[in-house]
Amino acid sequence: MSGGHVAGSWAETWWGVSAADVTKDVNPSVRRPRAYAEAADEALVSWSADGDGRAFDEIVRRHGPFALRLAARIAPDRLAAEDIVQEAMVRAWRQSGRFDPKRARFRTWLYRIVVNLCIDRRRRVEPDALPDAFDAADPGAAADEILAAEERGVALAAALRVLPARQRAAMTLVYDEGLSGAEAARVLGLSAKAVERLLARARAALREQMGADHDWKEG
Amino acid sequence: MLSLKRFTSLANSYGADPARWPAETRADAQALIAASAEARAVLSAARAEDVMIGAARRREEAMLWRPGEQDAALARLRSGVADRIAASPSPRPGQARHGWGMVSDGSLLRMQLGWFGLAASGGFAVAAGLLIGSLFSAAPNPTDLLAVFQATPIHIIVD
Repeated sequence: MSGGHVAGSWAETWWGVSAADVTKDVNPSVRRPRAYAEAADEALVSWSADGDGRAFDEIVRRHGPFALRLAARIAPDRLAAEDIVQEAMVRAWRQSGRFDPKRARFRTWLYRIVVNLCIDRRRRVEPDALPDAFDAADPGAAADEILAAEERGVALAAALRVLPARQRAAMTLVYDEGLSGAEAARVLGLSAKAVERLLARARAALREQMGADHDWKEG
Repeated sequence: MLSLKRFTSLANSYGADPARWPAETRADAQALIAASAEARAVLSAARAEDVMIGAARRREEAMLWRPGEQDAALARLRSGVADRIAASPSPRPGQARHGWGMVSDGSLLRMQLGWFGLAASGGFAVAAGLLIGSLFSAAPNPTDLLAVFQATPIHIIVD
């Protein structure tokens, strides 16, 4: 009985996976199952480079949600965002053999592909429209105070939507995803100082939208 | 010590949440907040902005994704990516490297050595041809040395 057959049978018995889902260890005669959910991104990318589609599906499951949110914030609309993330993932699959974990974290590499595709798409489709229901009034909000707050919120959300793509990307990466300025800089292909300036310009634009002496500055 | 100007610049970029600030600035920022009423005022204004920006971003997020839509989008993404990679050839490690990857893994050096090798082998072939030619041809008569450089057709025409 060959070593490979033994390893495959063992894997099928204990993990419910096929022989194709086991990986060679240092000793070729010793094989272990691939625990996709527990594997580090770098291992999943390495397995993907060997053609392991299940490893890449784990990458999509793990990073897809944020990639979709990031793209939806920057792309012209949500459908475009879904197209972009799918394209980014397929590119990541094709280039997985070229990924060097010593040079970058996988998520930085993936987010960079997503952001670049989003910025390219937005350059072709400007300006983007707000969703139809964006300024729909809340029928339950009758008091002037609530309406005023609602209007402020709508105005700010609209101002967010028309910020330049790189400013939106910087805000999403740092404020939502919690990336450091340095890591956001690597995603955007900029210096950390440039990311600081993008964030400052975005906040200044929003501040201007709300008015210099607005009561929300009172804290 | 962090200057008030730099502190304000950082607050205007990262807001009031210290977790967002560059790690190397946090201790100095805390010291400045403790020492300076102006720094505390800057931080208070940044905190108020954070509240409004956070609310606006949540509103925008809610407009982009209604409940359950993100899960559906992720399912579509997984399915679409699986279909496309199943239809494409498997990626191979080290395929088509360019730029820094070639420098870092030595393939650029190997490629340059390859070019050098090509040039060296061409030069060797020319040298070998000259050597063989000199070995198998008669030595020129010193009195007729100019004939060596005279092209044959010209010689025929003269005759």
